[in-house]
Amino acid sequence: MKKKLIVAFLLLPVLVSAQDAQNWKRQMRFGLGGYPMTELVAYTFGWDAVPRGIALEDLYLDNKGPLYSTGAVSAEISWLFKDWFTFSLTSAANVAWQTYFDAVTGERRGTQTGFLLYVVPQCRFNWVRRDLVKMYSSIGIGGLVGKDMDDDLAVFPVGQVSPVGIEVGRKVFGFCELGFGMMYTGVMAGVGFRF
Amino acid sequence: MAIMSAGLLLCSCTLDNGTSSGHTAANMEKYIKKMFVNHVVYPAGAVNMLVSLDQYISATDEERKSDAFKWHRETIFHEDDVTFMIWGFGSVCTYGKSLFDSDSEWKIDSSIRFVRVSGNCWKVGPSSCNGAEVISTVVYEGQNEDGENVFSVEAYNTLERGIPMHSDVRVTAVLATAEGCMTVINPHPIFCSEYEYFNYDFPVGCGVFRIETDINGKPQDWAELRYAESGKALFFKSNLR
Repeated sequence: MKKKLIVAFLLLPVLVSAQDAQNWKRQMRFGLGGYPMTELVAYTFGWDAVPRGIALEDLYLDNKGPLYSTGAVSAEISWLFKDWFTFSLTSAANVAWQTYFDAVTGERRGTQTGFLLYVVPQCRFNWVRRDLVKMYSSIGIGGLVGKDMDDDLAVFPVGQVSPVGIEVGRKVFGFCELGFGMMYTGVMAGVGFRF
Repeated sequence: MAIMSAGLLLCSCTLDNGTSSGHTAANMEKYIKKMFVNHVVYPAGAVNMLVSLDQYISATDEERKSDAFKWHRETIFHEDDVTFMIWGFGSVCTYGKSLFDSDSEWKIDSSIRFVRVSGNCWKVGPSSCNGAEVISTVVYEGQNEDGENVFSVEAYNTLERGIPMHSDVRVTAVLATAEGCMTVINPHPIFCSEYEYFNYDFPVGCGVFRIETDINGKPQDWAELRYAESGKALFFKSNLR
């Protein structure tokens, strides 16, 4: 389902965009996707290589259902300074949630949620600049703030790199990029418009 | 709200599959075996250290060379004429007297607390047990026909508390030897790691060790370790199994 959405995002702007937007200086993009690395590292990695003993509270600790995350939902504004260089300010949000159950009765006791907000300025280097297709690489350093699953304040630096991305369209376009970093790892896709 | 929830579910990814309940018979068995070692075996083993040292000191040079004192030769080291270091236990100063002399006052430098009540009777507290003060009474009953030291152990109603994370419950457990004292033969006080209690080499003995738990004051679970008639096996029984 996600793949079909990504393809639709890429094709739709080509069909609807008719104007020549060569003189655009700014653009906005809205994207979704990637694997949320912050949550993956914070909530799922554990040092269980050495087995540990059992304590009284372990017998009655609430057990947890699967941990879900939306992935990064992003909004971005970019300024084209040169044909080959774009500066972007990306903000993204990521929500994670997990239901926990009473260890004895199995009854649902509640849902823990975590919310993270990312702000990542990025430098984007455009190395294919056709009328319809643009390809780029980007790198950025920023930060995140939010509430983790234990209701503690989370503030961390964030690095994000995208070795290759593609934008297809003119005034309205779709984009898809590969990236790795604390904001997301994997594929992000979305739509944008230039003005 | 429903549309938003549906949208979130559509776009979400699964980071892990969660955890299973810890409220199982297997976990209860691990826990009671850990408590049995802490409350019965270690206290008896600690007193056994002192009795074994006394037997070693009292033996002749010829007797010390025999197989019966092989463990002692490998574990006990002289610091001076009256002070001995027992590997893994601590330092003991005998002041030149036997443990069972009426006026003996051995000085023991160990992480285990000892209070000698009379002659062969000791109150023993391991260094820690989740912060609870654990006291067992250990009585040295003498040697059996195989020359092994025999101890009777009474662990009192000791309260252990726990606070499970992400929960508003408070759990307590009461641990005690049941149906009178337990007897253990030649307990070796070799301290094991937290996760080794399940496969611990339990000493031969007889008797019952019992745990009762409650959650927020309401009785919840019970478990017992009971020696087989032969004394060589411990049977686990619980409301969870």
